[in-house]
Amino acid sequence: MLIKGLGASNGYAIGRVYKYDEPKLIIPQHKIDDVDGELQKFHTAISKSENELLTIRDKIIEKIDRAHGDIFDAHIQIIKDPELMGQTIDKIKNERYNAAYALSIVALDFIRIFESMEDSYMRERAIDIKDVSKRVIRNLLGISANDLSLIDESVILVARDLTPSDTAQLDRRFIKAFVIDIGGKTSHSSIMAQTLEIPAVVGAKNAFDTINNNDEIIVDGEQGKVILNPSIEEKKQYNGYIKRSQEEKHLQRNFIGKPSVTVCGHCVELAANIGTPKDVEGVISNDGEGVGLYRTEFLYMNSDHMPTEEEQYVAYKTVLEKLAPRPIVIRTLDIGGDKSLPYLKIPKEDNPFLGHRAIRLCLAEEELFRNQLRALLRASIYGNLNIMFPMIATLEEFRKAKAIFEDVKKELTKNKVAYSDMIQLGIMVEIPSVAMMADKFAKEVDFFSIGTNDLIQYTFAADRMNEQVSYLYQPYHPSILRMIKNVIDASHQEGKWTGMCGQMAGDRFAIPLLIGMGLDEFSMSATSILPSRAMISKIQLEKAKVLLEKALDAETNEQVQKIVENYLEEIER
Amino acid sequence: MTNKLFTVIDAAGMHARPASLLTQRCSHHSGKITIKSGDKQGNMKSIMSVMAMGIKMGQDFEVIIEGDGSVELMEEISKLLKEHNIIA
Repeated sequence: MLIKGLGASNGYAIGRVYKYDEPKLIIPQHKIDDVDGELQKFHTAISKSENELLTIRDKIIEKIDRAHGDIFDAHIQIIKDPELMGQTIDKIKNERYNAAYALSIVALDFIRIFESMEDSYMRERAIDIKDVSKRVIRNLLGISANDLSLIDESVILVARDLTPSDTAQLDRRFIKAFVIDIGGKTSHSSIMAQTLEIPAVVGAKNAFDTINNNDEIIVDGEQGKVILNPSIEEKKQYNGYIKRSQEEKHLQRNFIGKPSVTVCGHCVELAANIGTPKDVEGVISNDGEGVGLYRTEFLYMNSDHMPTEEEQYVAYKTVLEKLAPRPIVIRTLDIGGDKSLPYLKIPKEDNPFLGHRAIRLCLAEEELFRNQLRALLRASIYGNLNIMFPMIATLEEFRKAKAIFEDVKKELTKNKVAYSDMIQLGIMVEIPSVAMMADKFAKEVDFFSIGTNDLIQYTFAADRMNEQVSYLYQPYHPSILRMIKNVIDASHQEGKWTGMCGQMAGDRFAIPLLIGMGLDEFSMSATSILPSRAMISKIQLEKAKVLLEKALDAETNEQVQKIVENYLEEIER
Repeated sequence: MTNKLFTVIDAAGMHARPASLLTQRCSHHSGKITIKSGDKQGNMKSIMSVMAMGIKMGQDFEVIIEGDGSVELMEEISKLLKEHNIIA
């Protein structure tokens, strides 16, 4: 039997099911005689819960990162909250309720208040309060914590949902894969699965109720499929896949230190997308030849104040220095619309993706922009820096941004501050107007970097956050391919280069087409670099060009997919 | 006792970050600290209590500090709120 979901983390697994359900809490309600004894129990449960949370937080910081660990700092703050505690203690003292019941009614009051708020951030706090109060109640009732960390044999986990604290306890040695009923590709559990490299299928609607403990299942994290009680044939097929992907991983290690080159000697650059200086390690271990996109907004979003020029300088310098002499493309601040900063007032907009964001905001908030450019220029002497502006729509915008850049340079020269004079200045191509005017832009910019996620959403006028229109996310559609080709051709006409930093750059279906177009730089998540290099080594440029001709002439996304699929089978043989 | 009236100018209202910093600072104070807005009243030492008031842009709120050092603490609170653009 087949259950469909979304492939959240790549890889395959075959194994026995371990069903994981949250322990059911039945909260007893009674009056107590021994108030002091009950208060003592309450305080013990609070400190036990706090210790659990501290342990989980440290595990997460170690396995994932600081930002995910912060979720638990928030939980710890709730557990120590004087009102939540105080009101519960009052209920124990004055109304003589048992602690578990007292806490449950106090927590419920807060949960109701937060759930009814308009702000989605505040509504999510209701979930935090629920989580935390459940934990304390469980400890009060002596119900043992979820025992995920106790699993010591190979299993496939099937659950309705996994909270961040559940995922943090997953042990890769024993959990071969997991399947959950809810969630999307970008939910917490999916991101954690990718980081831990555990194959996962999410949003598999009735999986939990359909599958039984100890059932045998196959999890296909690539295609988002779960096969219940597979046939001998299916098991054979998937054992083959598993073996092949292990061999591939092994083979890919052989590509470390090698150039990214086709059979016939056509060379390209495989670079990585990064968000923080910490990501540099992944670039080095996966042998990235550079960084095609350093998203500076994380620096701003992970801070409670506007990052000073000095703080920015240190971050940029670290990346440039550690990766020198590799070329690094740093994107100036891409914020606004749905990504807000607590310390920068951006009014709410009806259409944030079409609103006052990225370069539009930077040109309006010039001081903020100048600060970043100064930090970038000062850091430039430590490595090979290139700068690009996001969301450029018109030539005037680019000229304005460039003029400010030149002005900041002048100011630094006047103050005798050193900077590199080798910095290339480029733009992101993510708005169709730029793709169409690429020939004019190519005369003025040093390079292009195509951001496919936004380019696709703007071309199809389909919000990529809206599931109703997700079928319009069509990366291989001839309209997209033609635009990309137009950009690459225009840059080469002027002796410039084009890179790509959207999801497409690391997509095995898109790579042969992009090679055929002559794309110069492919920037992707670091873990995709070696598989892509291995794949490129099997491509012949002339054949890729023929493939591209067919694709450009196709009518639909699906047709292109079929054409590429045939080609891939051919080169894999 | 010291009291002072403020008006929120931030589009996001009294959001989590400043609320968290405020309550952390206030929790060191020995006396009672109350926040009032409209007909609601909260405990400035409790982040849940402050956030549950749901104070929005344009709304007034009053802070009442009891105990020693209330004048200095009020100054610190004003500074903190200004730094985070919560008040003008």
